[in-house]
Amino acid sequence: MYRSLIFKEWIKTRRFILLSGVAFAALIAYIFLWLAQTSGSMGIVNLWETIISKEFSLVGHVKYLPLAVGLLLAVVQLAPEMQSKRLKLTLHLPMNETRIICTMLGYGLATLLMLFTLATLALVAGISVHFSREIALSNFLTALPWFLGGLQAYLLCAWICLEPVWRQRIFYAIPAACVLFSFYGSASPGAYVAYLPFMLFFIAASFFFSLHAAARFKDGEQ
Amino acid sequence: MKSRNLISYLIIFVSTLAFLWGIPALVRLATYSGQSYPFVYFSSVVKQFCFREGSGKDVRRYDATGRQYSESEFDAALPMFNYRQLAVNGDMPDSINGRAVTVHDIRRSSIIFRYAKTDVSSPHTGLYVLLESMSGRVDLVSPGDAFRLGSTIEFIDIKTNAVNKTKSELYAKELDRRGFTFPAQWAAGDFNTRKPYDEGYFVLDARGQLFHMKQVSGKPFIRNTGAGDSVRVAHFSMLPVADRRFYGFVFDAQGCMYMLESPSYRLTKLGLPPVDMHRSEALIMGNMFYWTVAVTSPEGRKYYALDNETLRQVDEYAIARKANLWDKLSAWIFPVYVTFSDATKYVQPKLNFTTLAALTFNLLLALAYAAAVRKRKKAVAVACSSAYILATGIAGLAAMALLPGRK
Amino acid sequence: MSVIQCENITHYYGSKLIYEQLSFEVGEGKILGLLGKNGTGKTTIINILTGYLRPQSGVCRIFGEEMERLSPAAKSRIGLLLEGHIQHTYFNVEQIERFYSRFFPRWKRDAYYELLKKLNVTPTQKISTMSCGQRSQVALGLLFAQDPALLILDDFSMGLDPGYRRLFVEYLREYAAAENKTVFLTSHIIQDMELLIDDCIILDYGRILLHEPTAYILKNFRRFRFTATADVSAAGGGVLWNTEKIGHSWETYSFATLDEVRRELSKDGASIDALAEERLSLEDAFIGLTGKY
Repeated sequence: MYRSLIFKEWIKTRRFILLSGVAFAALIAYIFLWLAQTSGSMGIVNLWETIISKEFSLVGHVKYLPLAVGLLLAVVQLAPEMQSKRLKLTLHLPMNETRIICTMLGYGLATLLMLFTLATLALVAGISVHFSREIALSNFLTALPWFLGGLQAYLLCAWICLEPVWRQRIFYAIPAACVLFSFYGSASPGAYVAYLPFMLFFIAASFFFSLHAAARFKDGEQ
Repeated sequence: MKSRNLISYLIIFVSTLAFLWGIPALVRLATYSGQSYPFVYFSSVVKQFCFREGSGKDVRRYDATGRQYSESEFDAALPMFNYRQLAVNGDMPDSINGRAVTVHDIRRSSIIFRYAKTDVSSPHTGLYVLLESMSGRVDLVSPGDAFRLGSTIEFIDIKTNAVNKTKSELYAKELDRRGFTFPAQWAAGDFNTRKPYDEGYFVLDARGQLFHMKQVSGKPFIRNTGAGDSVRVAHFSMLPVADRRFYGFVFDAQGCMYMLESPSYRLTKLGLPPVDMHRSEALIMGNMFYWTVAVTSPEGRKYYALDNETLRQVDEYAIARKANLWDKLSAWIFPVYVTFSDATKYVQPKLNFTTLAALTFNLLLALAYAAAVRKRKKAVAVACSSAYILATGIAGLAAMALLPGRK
Repeated sequence: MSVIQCENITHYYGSKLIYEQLSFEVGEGKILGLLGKNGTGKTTIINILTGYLRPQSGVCRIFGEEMERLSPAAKSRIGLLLEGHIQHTYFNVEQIERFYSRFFPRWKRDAYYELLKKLNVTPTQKISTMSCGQRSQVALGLLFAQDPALLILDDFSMGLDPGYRRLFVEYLREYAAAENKTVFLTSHIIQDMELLIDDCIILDYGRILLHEPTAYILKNFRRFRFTATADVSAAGGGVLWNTEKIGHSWETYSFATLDEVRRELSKDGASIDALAEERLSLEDAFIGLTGKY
C-alpha cells in the first residue's frame, strides 16, 4: 500500500523532480565554472586568502534554489489533490488517514533530502579538490540553512496547499513567511550553527501542520 | 485525525514564536531611530573633552565647561586631531605642552583602534595565513600557504591543497619546545599585506597562555608572552602602530583592557572600567599626549581620557542614550519579544524583556479577549487562552486569531 | 441488516438550512437512488456519509461504523464515485489500475480491463486526455475491480451523453444484481433510473419528500387530468400533489385511486369533468412529486 501511494506521488512529481535535478546540476556546473574562472583571474592563493579573511562564500549562488524547489514540489504534489477535491479519493483509500498524509509528506521530504544531499555532496566534493576541509566545511555550513529552508518551505507550502479555505491559506502564509525568512538572514559563513536546533524544531513541528489542514478538509470546511 | 488539538497548539506555538519576532521587528522598523552622539576628543591644549555636534550651519562646537568655539578655535584646541588642517593654514604650533611637535611626530604616534562586540563571537574557518616578518623586501608578500590550528599546527600548500609536512613539523616542534599546549583556543592576527610590518599571530593555548608566533627569516619565532600568568586572557586584538610601541590589546575575562607592549610583552592596564565585551563597542583615538576612549553600550556612551604614557585615566564624560519612540512603545506593548542577537555574527535568537508595565497591556488584551469569546467557549478554554495571551501578548493573540475555531 | 443508517442529520451552510432531522436507512442488497433537484443537498449527503463533511448534528453509520471514523477495512468495502467521475487524471489507464490494485485484497483486474476493452483507449492514454464518457467507464471499471460491498455514486449521470449513461446504468444494474451489492446513488437526471434503482428517496429543500420502493411509485403514482367549473384548491389535503391549471384544463398527481381523487377534488364544490388517469415514468413521477419549479 505504501509503495502504491508512493507510486502515485512519483507519477505526479517525476517530471518536476527531473527538472529540479537538472536545475541543480546546471547550478553546480555553473558554480564550478565560476570558481575556475575566479581562481584563474585572481589566482588560487589570492582566492584562498580572500575566503579566509573576508567571509567569502563559494556557494552563494545556491541560496534560493532549494527554497524554490521545496515550494514548487509541494505545489506540484498537492495542487492536483486539491483540484476537484481529489484528496477525497486519496483519503478514502483503505489506509489510516494520518498515515496517508504522512506517507505523502514523507515522500516529498525524502525526495528533497535526496536531491539536496546529492547537490551538497557534489558541492563539497568539488570544493574539496582545491580547498581545505575547513573551507569545505564552512561552505557546507553556509549552504545548510538554505537546504533546510527548502525542507521547511516544502512542509509549510504543503500545509497551505492542504488547507481547504482560501482565507486561511493567506493567514497561514504570514507565520510561514516569518519562519522561512529567519532561514535566509545572515550570509556569514557558518553563522547558522547556533540557530540549527531552532531550524530543526520548526521543520519537525511543521511536519504535523498538514495533518491539521487535512482534518479541516475532512470536516468539509470550505 | 489523531492528536488534532495537540497539533493546533503546536501551530499556535510556532506562530507565536514567529510573531514574537515578526511583529516587534516591523514596529521597530517603523519607530526606531538610532542615537546620534557628538564627536568627542580630549584636547591636549585645554585639557577638556571637546564636542562637535550637528552638521552644516547648525554645527556646534563646545567643551565640557560649556564654552563655545568657532571652527578655527576648535581646530586650535584639538591640534592632535586637526594637525593637517592647521599645517595647511600655517597655524601648526611648534610645541604643545612644552614638547616640540611636528606633523610627522603626530602622525607616527596617532593610533585608531576599534573593538566591535561581534569580534569575540564570529564564525571562523579555522585557517590562518602566516606572513614572513622579515622578507628583506619593503612590501609584505603572501606565503602561498595557510595553516590550521587545532590539536596541532598544519601548513597547507595552497596550490596543491596538501599539507606541507616539513613546515608543519618545524612549527609544531618549536611550539612544543616553547611550552605551547595544544589544542589552541584561538589565534589573533592580521595577514593583510598592506601594512607597515607583520607581527604574526597571538595564540591562546589550551592552558590559557598567550603565545606570540611569527615567521622570521623563514624560521618560526615563538614566545610565551606571559600574559596568561597575570590575567585570564579572553581576547586579543592586534593593532600595527607606526612607532611599534605595542602589539595590540588584551581583554581579560572581565573585560579589562591591557596594552601588550612591544617587544617586552609587558601588560599595561588601560584606566577604564571593564568593558562588557558582548554588549559594547569601543573606539580609541590616541595621540602623543592623551587617548580618547569611547565605549558605547545600549545605555549610552562613556568617554575616557587616558594619559598616553601611563594609560591612567585623567578625565571622563558620559552621555546617556535618549529613549526613542521604539523604546517607549516597546516598554508599553511588548513585555517579551524575540530578536536576532546583534552581539554576535552567529544567528542567535534572543528573548528580550522590557518592563512589567507592558504586562498591563497584555492583561488588557487577555481581558478583552475573554470578554469577546466568553459566550462562545467553555470557561476552561477561555481561561487557558487568556493566560496564554497574558504571557505572550499581541503575538499570542495574533497566533490564536490565525487558527479558525472548530464548529 | 442496514448497510447505511443516517439519524437526525441537521445541517446548515451558514444560515441556510440544508436538512433538518434527516433520517433514513439503506438495506443490504438494495439500490437506492437519492433524487432531488439541484441544490437540495444530494452531494452534501454523500459528503456527510463518507466523512467529508461534519454536519451540525446527527450521525451516519456505514457497516455500523461512524462516518468520521471509518476504518480502513470498512473503506475497502465502500466504492466511491465522486461527482463528475473525478479520478487521479495524471495516471494513464494502466497506472491507475496498478495504483488501486495494491489497496484492495479482492482486486479483480479482469473486471477493469473487460470494461475498458469496449472503449477506444490505449493502455498508456492519460485519463486527463479522455472524454467525460470514457472517464466514467474508467471510474466504473475501477469500482468493479475493487468489488466493494457498497457503492456510493455521486451524480454519475452528470456530463454523460445518453449512450454512456445507458451503458453505465446497464453495467451497474447487472453487476449489482449478480453480486448482491448495495448501491447508494444520487442523480438529478431521472431518465433511465427506473431501470436501476429499487428504492427512491426524493429530496426536497430541507427534507425528504418521499422514501418508497421504485416499483411502488411506478405502480401507484398517477397523473390526473381534468376540467373544472371553478378553481380547485391546490392544497389537495395530503392526497394530491402539485395541482395546477394548465391552459383550460387541470392536472394533479396522486397515489390515490381515481375515485378517491374525484372525491378529494369535489370537496370544494367544484364540478369535475373528464377526469382521466395516466401511468407515469419515474421522471414524470419525480416532476409530479417535486413540481416543475
